[in-house]
Amino acid sequence: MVSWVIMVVSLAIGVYFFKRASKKAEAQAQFLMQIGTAPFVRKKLNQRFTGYVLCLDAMRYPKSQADTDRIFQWIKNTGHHFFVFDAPSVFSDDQTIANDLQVEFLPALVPVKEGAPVGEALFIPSAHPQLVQMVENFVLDTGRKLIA
Amino acid sequence: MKTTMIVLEWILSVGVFGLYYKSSTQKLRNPYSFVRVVDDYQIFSLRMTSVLAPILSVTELLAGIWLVLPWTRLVGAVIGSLFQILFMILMIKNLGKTFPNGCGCFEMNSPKTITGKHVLLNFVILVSLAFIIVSHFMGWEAFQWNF
Repeated sequence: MVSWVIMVVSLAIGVYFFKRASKKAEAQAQFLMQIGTAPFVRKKLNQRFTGYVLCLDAMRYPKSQADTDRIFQWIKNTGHHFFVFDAPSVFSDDQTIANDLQVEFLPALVPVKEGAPVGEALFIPSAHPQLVQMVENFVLDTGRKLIA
Repeated sequence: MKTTMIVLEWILSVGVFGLYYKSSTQKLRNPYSFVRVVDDYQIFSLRMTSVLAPILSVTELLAGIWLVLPWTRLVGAVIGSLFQILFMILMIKNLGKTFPNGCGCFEMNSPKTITGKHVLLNFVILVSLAFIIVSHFMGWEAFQWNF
């Protein structure tokens, strides 16, 4: 009797977890589809893009989406151009993008002037308590180089 | 002898539960990554894999929970053994292969690059589960199966 109760209760919990995981996977897939693909990033760099590029690692750091929204809002207010992509999937499609942007760690924010990186990229650890503050300081420091 | 076997069975059950719990919750926290990793094995279509991967993660969690509870231990051990056999077949088939989407986050049964070490770890888990099943039929288990 006890066995049956445990089985039924745990199966119900299992169905709940399955539904939740399926929904989350779908949301993650949609998020990845919305952000830049390899041809999009290549086109931007070839068009001598100037601004900030946020290279995410959405697979390893699923919380990147929330961080992106916060960083995106802040950079948008500074007037700088900005775009986001999932680095592992883009780099596996076009390795030259990784070389061009000189990204060593992920996730990273890269200041780019006329299609080439300016200075070192900022490594953005997801769990950093003052993430936005860190990005603010970085953008204030590097922003002048992009305008000059 | 019987007491030793019961203690050993408990140690193995709790140990495998710990591994299954850690592995499955990691997959459930980042489900799309696991979908992509399973898709790398190229067994089913991506659509089918999107359904199958969360089922695998949840079944792994349930197998772990059933293993640690004495009343459902045999079911947990049988499901776990089937899991291990499946993982080992897939791993041996893909030995040495590096997955393009492998993030290295599901090291136990879906690593970035499959090595002999990963197959061995899964084999050790299979042997532990086999011991639990045998101990049930030998009458060594702490609680009798009472379905």
